Amino acid sequence: MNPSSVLAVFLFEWRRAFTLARMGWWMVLALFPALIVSMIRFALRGETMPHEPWIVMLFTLIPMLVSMLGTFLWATPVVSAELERKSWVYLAVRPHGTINVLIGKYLVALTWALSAALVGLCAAMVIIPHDSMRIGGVIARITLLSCPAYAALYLLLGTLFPKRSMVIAVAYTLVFELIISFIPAIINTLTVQYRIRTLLFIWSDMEINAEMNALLAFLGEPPAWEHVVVLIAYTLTLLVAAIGVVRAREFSSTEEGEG
Amino acid sequence: MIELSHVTKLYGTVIGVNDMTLALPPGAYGLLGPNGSGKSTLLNLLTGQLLPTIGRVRVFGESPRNNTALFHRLGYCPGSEGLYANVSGYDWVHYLCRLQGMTSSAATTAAQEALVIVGMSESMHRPIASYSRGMRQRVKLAQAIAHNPDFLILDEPFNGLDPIGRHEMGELLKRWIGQGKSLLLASHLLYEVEAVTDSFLLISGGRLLASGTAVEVHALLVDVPNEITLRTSDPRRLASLILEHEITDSLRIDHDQLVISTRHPAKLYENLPAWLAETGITVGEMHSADESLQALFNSLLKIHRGELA
Amino acid sequence: MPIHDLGYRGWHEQLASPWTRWVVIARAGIRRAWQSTWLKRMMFFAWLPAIWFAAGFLIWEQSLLEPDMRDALQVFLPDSPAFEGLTERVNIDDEVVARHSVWSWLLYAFLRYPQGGIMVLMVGIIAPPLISQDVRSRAFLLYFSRPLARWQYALGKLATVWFYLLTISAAPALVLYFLGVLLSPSADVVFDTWDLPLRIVAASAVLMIPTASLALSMSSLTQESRYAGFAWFAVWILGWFTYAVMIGVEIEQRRNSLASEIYEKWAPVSLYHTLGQVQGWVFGFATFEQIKYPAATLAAITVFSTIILFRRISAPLRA
Repeated sequence: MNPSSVLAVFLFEWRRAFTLARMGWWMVLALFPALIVSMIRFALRGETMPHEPWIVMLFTLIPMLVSMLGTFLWATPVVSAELERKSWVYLAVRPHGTINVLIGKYLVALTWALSAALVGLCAAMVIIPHDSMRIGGVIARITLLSCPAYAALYLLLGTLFPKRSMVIAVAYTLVFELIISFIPAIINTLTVQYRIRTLLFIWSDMEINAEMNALLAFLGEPPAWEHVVVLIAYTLTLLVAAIGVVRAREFSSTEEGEG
Repeated sequence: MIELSHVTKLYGTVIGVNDMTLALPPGAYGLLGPNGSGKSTLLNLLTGQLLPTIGRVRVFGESPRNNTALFHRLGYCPGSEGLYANVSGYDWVHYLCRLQGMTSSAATTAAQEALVIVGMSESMHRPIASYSRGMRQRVKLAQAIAHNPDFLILDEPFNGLDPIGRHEMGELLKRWIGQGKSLLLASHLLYEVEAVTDSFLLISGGRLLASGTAVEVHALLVDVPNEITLRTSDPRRLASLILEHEITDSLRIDHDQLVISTRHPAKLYENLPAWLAETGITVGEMHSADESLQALFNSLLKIHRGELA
Repeated sequence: MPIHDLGYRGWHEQLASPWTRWVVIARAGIRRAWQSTWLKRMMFFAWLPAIWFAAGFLIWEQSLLEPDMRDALQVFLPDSPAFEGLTERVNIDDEVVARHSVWSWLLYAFLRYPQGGIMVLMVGIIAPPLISQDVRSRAFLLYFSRPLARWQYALGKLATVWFYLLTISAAPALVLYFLGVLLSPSADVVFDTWDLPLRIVAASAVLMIPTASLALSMSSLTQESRYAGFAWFAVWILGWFTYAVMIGVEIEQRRNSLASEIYEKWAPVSLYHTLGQVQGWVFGFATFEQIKYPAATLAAITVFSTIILFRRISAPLRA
């Protein structure tokens, strides 16, 4: 990996990102949490809602929904978009091509999604009628872990299944991150969702009971640092795997030319 | 420079390159073959984009697959367009130079010089979306030469160029060869390659049919009949004369055209004026495909298909 | 010579009817989409839920002979407050009414839940590149240099999506219906349930028409299919999420209100639930009064999407 080339990819891709459509999507994701929180307050019509549902709501909105969608849009098609445009080959024949492109685009996906998530969090915090700083701090910390992990996950899925990367990523998220992550078994510990959900309960001092989250009892409540280490290791492993796939796979085909 | 040892590339059950063995020293070569003959597959093997199913590929003595050191020496211009619409030609070439390992300032100089060489000095800062097809082709060439590689691989570089653009591209490539650099130019049109080099490789169906200069390949075809087409006022009468003198191996008549296949074209050329004078037959047009590389190519394909002994 | 003659200037024979030319576009789209291995895999999985629901038909019909089996049917019946009356209708003595209710429910649930989810994924595979590829490659110029109208092109593309939606909605549902007839004790059930195949077709149309229009309008708005794919999934995910959150909050806050009213109120924010409400009306689980806003939402989506689609298709011709 060459840091200078990674920086070149990062800057080049960020410049390309300033289009109306992409900025529009950024705004949608950044404003969506505030919209939902406003709608909830409107529906409550002045009544109060306890502290904990607000935390869970923000968790579902920011480190889950916005992080997932933001990284999904940017990280999943890293290879497939280049293949669709037939521009991959120009990058692949460079000494600092494939790996640096992958890492550079990963960082773009990460910063894009993270900025939308954090701006969204700030906007939502303004509207929530509770101690904003504490809730915001917890959600921001979790977001800083969830965005890199989801970006790495979608990056790997995109390199493994470049032809149908978006659909595969959606299907994977539905099956693993939203269904299997709630199964009280070893398999759910392999999901990002399980780790960040557990961190939410630990960091926000929410009471853990079997009805609320049987999985935590199942694991014997390991400390927060263990979940953080696992998430970082998970992210790095997925990134290395994505690099390995890109180096090993043949992405070019005879479609490239006429002959 | 290039070594292929029994290289075969399969896409599932479809064969892209079929048992190709080849050793080429540094120089300029034209890679000729019809569409779907395996040219792009071969180029993808040489640039390390594909791995051979069987056999071994070496470029400058090294495997090209994920070979960082080798990529410094290679410049590749693929056949597909693959450009980003919303960036300028300069930004794109600059970006690819950065991926070549250059510093930002070195990449700036290299990109600007390359774009000037290909005649894009005035349009380099416009978005690629506004470029004509010929301009896009020039920018593609610029990214391939910007890092001053030793070996340039071009896939159909003349596509989309107007006659002036083709001439300029031809001249540019001749200058490239003149600097002692190597070139592999893939095309399905003979005249494009002829304009740049007389060393070529002929491939069809993923197989190498012949390699060498036009003269060397021609030597292979001494006993191969040449095809001559005559547009005449009385093709049947002329056909009977040619048959009487046993000049032809086969012939066919198509409206006012007489197409003959002969191993003795000189004998035909010698007798024809006298026959025309005697019989009053007129010939409005006569041409032999043998006068260009096209004849060699057609004949080699026929040998390959088993149509000629 | 008119410019549109250029593409077929050598052609002096009779042209195909303008009403069938869209079929060419549809056929090409269907063939092209079918080249995807993932689509073939998804098609296989799309038919698997029919086996589960066929078991529902079998248990119901057998429970008429063995009433003890009726408890097993509860697995297939909803516990949602929106369907409070269904369980009662199942247990009434009038076999004809009960059969119609149960069959309707099974077919509705089949179309609504497994097929609804599969539909989102399947359209996500087929639709995004369908027009965006033509936008990128400027294929419109090739299409419209031939005697092909914009509506024929658009109809051909829509028919491509409709075809695949039919194969995962109406086709398996009709098979399920006929399976139900075969698993019942007497062929007389056809007289009790003759309207259900028509309802299946209507419910499939409710599913197909707005979704295909929406997906293709998204595809027409971009040259890169990934944006169309993202927009397609984002609409469903964000809508679903908003619906789930607002339903949760309102039900918690307004325990005295009718749950069905809250569902109706928030359905228009989620395309999935909007479709479900209207399909529920098609199968007789809601009155038109209850679904007037969801129905209007679907109509508006279809109209606006079609307008966008036509404008985008026309753009190269206006330029």
